[in-house]
Amino acid sequence: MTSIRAKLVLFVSILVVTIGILCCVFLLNHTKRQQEDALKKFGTSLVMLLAQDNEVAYALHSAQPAFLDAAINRLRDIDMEEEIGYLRISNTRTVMREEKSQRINVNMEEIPMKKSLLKHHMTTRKSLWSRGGIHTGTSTFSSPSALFCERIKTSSGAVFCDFFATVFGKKTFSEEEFAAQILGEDKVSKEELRPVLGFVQMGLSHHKLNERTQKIIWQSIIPMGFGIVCGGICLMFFLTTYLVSPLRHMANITLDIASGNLTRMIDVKSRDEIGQLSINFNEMTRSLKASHDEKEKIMERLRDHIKGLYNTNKELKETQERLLRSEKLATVGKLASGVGHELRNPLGAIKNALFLLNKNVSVAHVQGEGQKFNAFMEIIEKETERSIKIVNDLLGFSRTAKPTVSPANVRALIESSLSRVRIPEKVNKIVYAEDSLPPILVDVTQIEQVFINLIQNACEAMPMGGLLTIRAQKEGSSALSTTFTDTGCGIPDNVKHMIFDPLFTTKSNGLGLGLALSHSIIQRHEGHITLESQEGKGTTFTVKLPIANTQG
Amino acid sequence: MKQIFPQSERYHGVILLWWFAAVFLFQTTFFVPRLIAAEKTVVIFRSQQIAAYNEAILGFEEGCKEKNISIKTIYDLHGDTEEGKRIIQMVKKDGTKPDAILAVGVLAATLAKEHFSDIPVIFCMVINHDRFNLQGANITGISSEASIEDQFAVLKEILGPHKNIGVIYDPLKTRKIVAQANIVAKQFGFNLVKSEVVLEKEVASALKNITPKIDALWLIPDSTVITKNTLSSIPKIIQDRRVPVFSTSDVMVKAGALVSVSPDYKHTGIQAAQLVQRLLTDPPSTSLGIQQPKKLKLTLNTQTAKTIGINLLFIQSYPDVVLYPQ
Repeated sequence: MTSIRAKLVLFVSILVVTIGILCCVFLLNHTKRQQEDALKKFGTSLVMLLAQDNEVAYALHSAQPAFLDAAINRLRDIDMEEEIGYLRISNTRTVMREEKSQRINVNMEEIPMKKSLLKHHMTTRKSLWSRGGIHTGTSTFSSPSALFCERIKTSSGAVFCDFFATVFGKKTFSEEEFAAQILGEDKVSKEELRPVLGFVQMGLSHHKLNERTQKIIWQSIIPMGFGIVCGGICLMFFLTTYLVSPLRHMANITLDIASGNLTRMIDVKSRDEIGQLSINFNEMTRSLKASHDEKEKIMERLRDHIKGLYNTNKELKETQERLLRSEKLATVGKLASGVGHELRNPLGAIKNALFLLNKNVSVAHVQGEGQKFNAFMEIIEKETERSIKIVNDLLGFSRTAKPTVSPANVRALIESSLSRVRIPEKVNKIVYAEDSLPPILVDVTQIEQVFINLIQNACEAMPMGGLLTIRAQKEGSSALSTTFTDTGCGIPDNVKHMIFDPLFTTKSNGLGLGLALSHSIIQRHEGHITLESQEGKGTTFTVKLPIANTQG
Repeated sequence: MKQIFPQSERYHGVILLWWFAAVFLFQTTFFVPRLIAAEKTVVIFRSQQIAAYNEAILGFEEGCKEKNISIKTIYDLHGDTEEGKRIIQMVKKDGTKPDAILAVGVLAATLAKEHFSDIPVIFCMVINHDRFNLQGANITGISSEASIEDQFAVLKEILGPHKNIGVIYDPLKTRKIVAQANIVAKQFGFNLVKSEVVLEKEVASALKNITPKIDALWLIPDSTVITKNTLSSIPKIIQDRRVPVFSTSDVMVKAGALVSVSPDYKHTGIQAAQLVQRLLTDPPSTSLGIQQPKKLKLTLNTQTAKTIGINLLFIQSYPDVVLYPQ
């Protein structure tokens, strides 16, 4: 992209150069013309002075060349710059005087004699209407009685303005010419001829004209051209300083504003269009900033609303889940209570009957089937015990009481829980829990049950062995978190959301009540239990419980 | 003593004869030269040979008859200043001094005024004489132009009053005439529209500018204004603008102007002769000044009148009216 500065510099440069050249050419032509005109006027004056000189007329009339000296000397006195290249004075028959300048090389034979004019002038009548002045120049020459002027170039290269004038015998009083015009002369026979005494021819050299022109070129035209260029540079500097620089500054500020910095303002340095543009730009920036601030406020409020809505939605969802879980728990609890209560007694009776049967029936009684009988009896006892345990669990689940809280040390709780669980040898355990951790306000029995469930689940998740890490740490000022991390098989993503649901289990022999019960207990303690698991890498359960307010 | 009276009676006739002879001789000796001496001589200087000057000189010669004024010589100055000076020097060197000098034309008048201070000089046929300061105790003359009043009177008769009259003039030459005309124009109910020019070449544009504003163009004898070009442009003004042109010269009428009021040149000469007689009979102590021509002639261009649409029949019946083309 071509910048305005470059365009401006290019344009002004072309303009300045063009104007400079045109001005110089025009001035040069004008000067030359003026110099030529001045030379023509000077030559006209000189030749007319000579032609009208009485002594010249007398010399021509009496054919005495000696009488020409005084007139020629007077002419030389006037020609101070010695511009007269040659001079020729002749009467109607012969050349009486021919002179040329010593300084200029000119061959007088090359100067034409104007013989055709000589013939013409011989019979020239007095002209009454030649008062309009002297006509000079080759193109304007019309009257034979007027001055004749032309440009001559000799073989040596010298250029002359050649002036030619007729010397008349007498002149007519101009007012009498006018009188003749006014009063009419048509009735008068005027046979009188105006005698032509001779001719004066004079050449003014162009060398002085060229010198003067050269002088003007060096003294006027070149300084003028230089002045125009300097003026152009100043103009360019002015334009770039006062026009482009503010625009560039404005462009930079625009970029800043576009990048979000709406505090940028333009310094108003002038009261012209650029100043007005700066004022308008600042006004626009202020409006933009006000709009932006307003939008930010609205966006902030919107974000707060969205955040609120999100939290509300989350809470609603959690509440819904809790409600659902609670309903489920209630239903399961009710069912477990009913089923447990109904099965407990028959199972008790079966257990008692098995005890009695085992006591009263001896091996002899079964006649060779003693080993099989014992094996069956062990199975029945084992399964009955298991059924009783299930029923007890169901009853325990249904009978979870409101927690009776008291401050407890979390490290003691962890150690107590670990001591009550049989941890396989292949599983290593690490516990990070400082004694200085603040006590938590919990029902020790229920929380121990939660911890036991989580430790058991972790061990079961690592059948091939692994590492169980238990870490207790303060979570903010009001909670304490305990994490149980195993390096087991992990929980698939598709079942994570159901892991705390009652009767849901991934284990083959599980009832699906342990985590549901743990979740229920933690909730009753106004805590949280969360799950993070990555399939194949392990699972982390985090239990957050409120810290006991020891000061209160 | 005896008286001899009878002898006296005898020679009475001879004595009477002698007495008559003595009286005759006395008369011849004392009175005839005085009578001869009483015939005044006038030298005429003519600026150049033009018809109008010759006509005036002819009138002067006619006017001198029976007035005991004789024209000694007529000198022609050929319109040349140097020659004029030479001739005047020659006349001055001549022993016989003329009683009066008649200068015909501006060259003759100016040279005569310059070289003769003790002889009455009467000039005539000097166009626009105000310009040449022809004043002095021995200088008197007759104007070669009709008075402005006479010119405007004719104009009013032709055009009627309340007209815009245009005049182009060179202030260096004819300012005085225009200033007088401005006063006279108001008396006649005319509005003089003036246009000043300094150079001859300005006349064409001045004419172009002034013609739309005027009802008639008045050409005064101004050598800057009246040129060959002006004369050639008169028919165009009449053709294009229908503006009548009037002047003080019948030459203009021939060039296309509508009317001119000019002096009768021959009568100017007669008037000059009367002036010379008056000056020589009873020489005044001061100059008689410049007199207006007593007889004027009106030159009308009937063709121009027809082109413009002006009826000049009523004026054609006036005396001394010359019609052109005849």
